[in-house]
Parts: sequence; C-alpha cells; structure tokens
Amino acid sequence: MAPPSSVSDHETSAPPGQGQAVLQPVTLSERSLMLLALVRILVGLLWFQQLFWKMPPDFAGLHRYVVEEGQYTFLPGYSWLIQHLFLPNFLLLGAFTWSAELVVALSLLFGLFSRFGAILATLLALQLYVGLAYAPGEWYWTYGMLVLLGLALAAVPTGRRLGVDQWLVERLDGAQGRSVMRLVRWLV
Amino acid sequence: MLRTLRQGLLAGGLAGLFIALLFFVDTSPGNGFHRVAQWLALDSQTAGKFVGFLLLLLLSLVFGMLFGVVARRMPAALGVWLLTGLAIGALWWIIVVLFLGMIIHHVPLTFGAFLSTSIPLLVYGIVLGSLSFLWRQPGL
Repeated sequence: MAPPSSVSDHETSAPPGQGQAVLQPVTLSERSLMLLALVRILVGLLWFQQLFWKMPPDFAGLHRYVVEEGQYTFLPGYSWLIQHLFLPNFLLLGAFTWSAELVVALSLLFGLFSRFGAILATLLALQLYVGLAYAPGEWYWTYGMLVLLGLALAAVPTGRRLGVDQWLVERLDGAQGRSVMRLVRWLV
Repeated sequence: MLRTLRQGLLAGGLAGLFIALLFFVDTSPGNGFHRVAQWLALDSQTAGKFVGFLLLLLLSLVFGMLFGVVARRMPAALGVWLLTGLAIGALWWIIVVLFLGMIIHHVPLTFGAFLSTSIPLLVYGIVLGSLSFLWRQPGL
C-alpha cells in the first residue's frame, strides 16, 4: 500500500546519548492519516448539523439551553453571568454562538485551518460542559467527549489529508521565519 | 482518455460513498437521502431513502467522470486540483440542486436548505480533488 507519510510538526531525530533511552519518533501511515481525516469530517458534520435547530434570525432553539445553563451550571458565578449578561443580550449571544459553530463546522469539514477549528470546538464544548453537563436528563460525558474530540483533533494536523490545509501548509512553509507565521502554520 | 475517465469514476465513486455517510447520519438513519431523492422528484415514503442513496452514488460517478475529463489537461499542482474539485461540487449544486430541484421541481429554497445541500457537495468536491491528486503520487 502506501509508504508512511509524516505530518509531525517536530521530527525528533536526536542521536541517542550514552545510557539514555530515546523515544522513537511517531510517523503516521497514509491509512492512519486518511482515517483521521474521515474522523475530522464527521466531527465537522456533528457541529454542522447543530446549526439547524437554532437558525438565525431568532436562534429560538438555543434559548432553552441558555436558560438551563443558568440553572444547572456547576461553576460559581457563571449563573449570574448568564442571567445578567447573556440572556438580556440573547440575540447577540445567538449570533456569536451560531457563527462560531459555523466556523468550526466549515473548518473541520473542509480541513481549512483545521487545528484552529478544533481549538474553537474545544472551547465551545468546554462552555457546554460547564453549563449543561449536570443538567437533568443530560449524560455528563456527552460534553466531556465533545471536549476530548476537539482536543484530539487539535493535537494532529488532520486537515493535511482530504482538506485545504494540505495546500496551505506548502504556502506557509516558505514563511516560517516570523513567530506569527509559525503560529499560523501550526494551525493548519 | 479511458484511464483518466476510469480514475475520475473511481475517485467520484469513493467521494460519493464518503458523502453518502454525511447524508446517512441524521435525526433518523438515512433521513438525508430523502432530500437527495427530492432533487429529481423521486422521493417517496417507502423507497425514498434507497432511491436517494442510489441517485447520490450515480451523480457522484457522473461528476467524478467529468472531473476526470477536466483533469486530463490540468497541471500537476495541488491547488488547481482542489479548486477544480470544489468547482465540480459547485456545478453539481447549481445543475442538480438549484436548477433541477429548486427551479424545475419546486423544492423550497430556504437558507437552511441552501446550507444543508451546498456544503456537503463542496465537501464532495474537495474529497474528489484530494483523492485524485493523491493517486497521482508515485508509490501510492
């Protein structure tokens, strides 16, 4: 089948020192990369489908969950924030949430700055965990798994197969000098 | 000519199976295939899902073949292949979903319908372009 492909950001190839155990660098095969790309696309679909029950302009489906977050959050002070800041400005909150979830969905579906999408997904999932994990009828691991999925996709550059990142990374390789560009490159 | 057509057909079929997964995972299994069947007014309560699945595969093969024909004259640059794949996905949406589905068969065009049909077909395009380019790599 395919030769092994490497997408690691930092190839660890230091020579073994005297009496020092050296870890073998991890190289992902083409099959593993494709599998991870498939997972990325399906997680993107997960976020994409959640856009449709809270569509603009009123984001109506979201309201019930924000109210629940205010009632059942385990984080002290978060309830006050929801009651006095988020709920009075619900349309703004809805627009922000919907847009952020759209960005996550597009990023993961198209493999476009996929690690940025995964980090944003982790933050959104973390917020859901804080607000809803212990609400009645919810399984606390649902949002925990959503956080873990985001973290897993942030750890590996999954957009470099079946995604736009495979093209972007070539472009960004040439501009590695500046620290901002290094950060931008890490996000693909 | 035959070789590029065959490659396009294969990449299109595989990308189609991939996208079928996106239409399968829905509020009930395979619910999204009803939407596909509606594009050509072939939806029904009993066989709509099956017809939609077959139609999706058939269209994937047709547009994959079209990609194969176009790709014959394309330079070996990843950006061009990805962009062409996206253009093929957009063409599918314009011809089948917009023209045949929404204009000829009066499937309602809402913002939600636009999103739920255009994005998966663009994903089809990017997968099609990626797979086709990947298979050009030596040793693969």
